Amino acid sequence: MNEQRKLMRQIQVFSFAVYEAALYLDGHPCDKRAIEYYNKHRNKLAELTEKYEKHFGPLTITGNCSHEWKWVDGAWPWEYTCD
Amino acid sequence: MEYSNDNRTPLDRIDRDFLAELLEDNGEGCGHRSCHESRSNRKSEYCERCTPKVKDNCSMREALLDCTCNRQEPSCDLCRDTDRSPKLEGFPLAMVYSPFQEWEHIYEAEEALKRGTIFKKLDLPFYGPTCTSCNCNKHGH
Repeated sequence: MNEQRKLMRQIQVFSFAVYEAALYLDGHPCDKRAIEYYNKHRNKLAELTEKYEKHFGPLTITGNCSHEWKWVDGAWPWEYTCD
Repeated sequence: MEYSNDNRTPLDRIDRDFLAELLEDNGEGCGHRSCHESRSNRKSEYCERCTPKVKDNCSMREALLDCTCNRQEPSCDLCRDTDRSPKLEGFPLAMVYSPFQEWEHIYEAEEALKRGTIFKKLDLPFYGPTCTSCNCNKHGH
């Protein structure tokens, strides 16, 4: 697995954890351990996302971190393959 | 709207014998709630009484409680098995309870994505829908 895919996998892992914690927190907004977990994983996700976008281009329309418009350089949805 | 004066809890309303039957389920039965055929008396994973009820094309034979037989086979006995909800006639339709979830037994993030949940306690086997008629080849989501 190349570096880009490894990083993407990590982003998926931490995104999932963040969403799960968020769903739990909707029903348990005062659970300190859950908030702690959420913050820890959210920070890690932000860190990974920043790293990914810096090296491989924006993941979302708000992720263009260059003086050039990189958003159009990545694969379009119909260009992805299921490998 | 009229409300019942019956203040019993759902647990109180369950027939005592039926409750005992549920609690006594020690895993020895074939999976049918009221089946107590011991494993040693069985020719297969199902007891003598239950085996003929499962069609060969039943896609989840191993899921003992839940037949997802092909709907093209409307004669599957398991689907007409009235044993699956004995003595529950007359109960209110929607009285469902769930324990309040607690923050515990959290998977590592990598494992969580593989399992589909961060909560070990929610990582449960899924046997599909419980069929109550033979129109049952629908997998719940």
